Amino acid sequence: MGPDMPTSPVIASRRLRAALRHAREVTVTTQAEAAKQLGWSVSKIQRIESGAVAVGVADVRAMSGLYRLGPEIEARLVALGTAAAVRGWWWELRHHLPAAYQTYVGLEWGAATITLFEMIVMPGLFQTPRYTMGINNALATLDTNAPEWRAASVTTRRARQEGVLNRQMPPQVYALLDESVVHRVIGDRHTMCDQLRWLVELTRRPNVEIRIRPFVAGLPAFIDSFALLSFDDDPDVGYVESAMSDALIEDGLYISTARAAFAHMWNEALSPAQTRSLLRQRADDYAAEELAPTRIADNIGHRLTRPAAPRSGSVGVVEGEHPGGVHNEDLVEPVP
Amino acid sequence: MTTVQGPTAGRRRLRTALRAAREDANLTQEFVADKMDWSLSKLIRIETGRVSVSTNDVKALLQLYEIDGTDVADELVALARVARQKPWWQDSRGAIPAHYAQYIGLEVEASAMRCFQSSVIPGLAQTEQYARAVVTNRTPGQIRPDELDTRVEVRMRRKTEVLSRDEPPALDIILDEAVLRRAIGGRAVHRDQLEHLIALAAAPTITIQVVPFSAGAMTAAGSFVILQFPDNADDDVVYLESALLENFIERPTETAPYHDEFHWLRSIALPPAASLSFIEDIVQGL
Repeated sequence: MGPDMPTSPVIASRRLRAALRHAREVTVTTQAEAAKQLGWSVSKIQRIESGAVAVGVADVRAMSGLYRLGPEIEARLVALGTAAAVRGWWWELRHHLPAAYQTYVGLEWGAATITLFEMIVMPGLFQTPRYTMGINNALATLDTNAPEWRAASVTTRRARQEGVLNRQMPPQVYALLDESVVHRVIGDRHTMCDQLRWLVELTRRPNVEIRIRPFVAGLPAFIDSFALLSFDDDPDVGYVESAMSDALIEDGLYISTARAAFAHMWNEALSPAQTRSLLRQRADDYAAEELAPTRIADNIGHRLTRPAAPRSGSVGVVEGEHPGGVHNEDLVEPVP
Repeated sequence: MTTVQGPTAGRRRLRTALRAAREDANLTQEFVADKMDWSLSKLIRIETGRVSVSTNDVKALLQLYEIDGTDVADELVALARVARQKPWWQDSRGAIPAHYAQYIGLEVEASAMRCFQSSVIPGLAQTEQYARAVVTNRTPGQIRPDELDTRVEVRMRRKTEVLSRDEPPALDIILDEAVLRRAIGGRAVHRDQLEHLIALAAAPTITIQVVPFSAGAMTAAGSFVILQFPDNADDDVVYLESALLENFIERPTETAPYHDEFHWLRSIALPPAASLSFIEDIVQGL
């Protein structure tokens, strides 16, 4: 595969349809006119250009001919078409995953930089299988969670981690987590302990940087969790997920707004060293609490004693230093 | 005749009724637009509630649908009149986004609200200082001081209009623990806000519950509000707080999951009394 060739079929497909649309517009042909000349329906052209259908080699050649692209460009487009037809590992799971998520997974696979902001839970790329199952259980009220879907979500996350984090030239990953993510007990305390220790492991990788945005930093500039993907040669893509709906975003304004908000929030976050120390501390807390397990039911119906979990982990700050000052370097010590 | 409290609900009811009347008369939008000498888009905008419609236009439509002079027709004309009233937030419309204005319109007419929040205290429960910090935070470096003042004023006015009216709506609030922990506006503002929350919970119409981190709960629904209206003819509306996703959900099949989600959240949340103790403990620790 040449240096020009994208690694992911989803990226190849996006590049191909962008090229075909551009070529048509440059030759000043409307979709209707192009369809007429090719003897196709307009909707076929529309679906090809919007990425709703795969485009076959014969169709690529026909369109290249109509747009007078010449043999060299035609060959490149045909190569893109071939690359786009490769089935990613998520193909087998396609019936269990939402369409936007499948596309996201395909794009993530070929991204050069992955920027993540999470308000509620760990990013999928970092989740341990037990944590993922914990999320599935917590979402059990939603009927989208058929058993196959749950199994698929665990398999998919593992495959994503394998394909993205463990590949030869892994992407740069920047992950910003709201402090609540380390306090919210998904699964049980054992699950949380393992999950946080795994996160500490990940921070040792040169291509992964994780930061926690503490409660003292106030309200985040953005309240939707989001992912932004950057590529070497392709435009950025955003992704927003909730179980009720998820969406890929290609709107440049939204992406630049999200990127600016991320930069702002990243500066309000704990340093990598402080983040690691908070993660370790919370992991130790969970390990200690596990000896005397608290179940949800125990918390209901009577007054809680001090909610020890968050307080011991919350990072204090001298009033007035935050935000704006943004220097948290001396805040390593959590408030007891 | 049914009662309608204000222009937003009036317009909603009207658009549904006008559409139904046309369909009962077996007329297409194209035919009606043609007969009325309107553009097709005008009729579509009326039937989707995007523009208000004059009482004269309503009367003409009813004549075309051959139901003029009936009780139903009288009600629709009355609705059209209500739908054209100028609401109090009209003057602030330049300073607040359109979907927010629409939300306020629904809120003043709601008889019950169920609200789940995982990022901030809901607007109706905010102190002025907290509201100021929230508005500033949401729009970093982009908001002019006078706009900021207007937005905060709108928030405070909402509280008066909704909570201090003769029959205030039932307000059920469920908060993720993260909301209580987030020091919005600094420690003093944070503390005042939590104390205000405790004071609010004393009102007989207001219930506040907390989902602690230890409950192991996450909701896929994000933060949302379910608005319910005094008349059963008005479907519930779900408002989603998101910069990106659609803000309003109105189809019963799509709002139903939010009711389920709310029931589930309530089942895992601390009961009201324990929730208050929980908030008091957090205040103690500040």
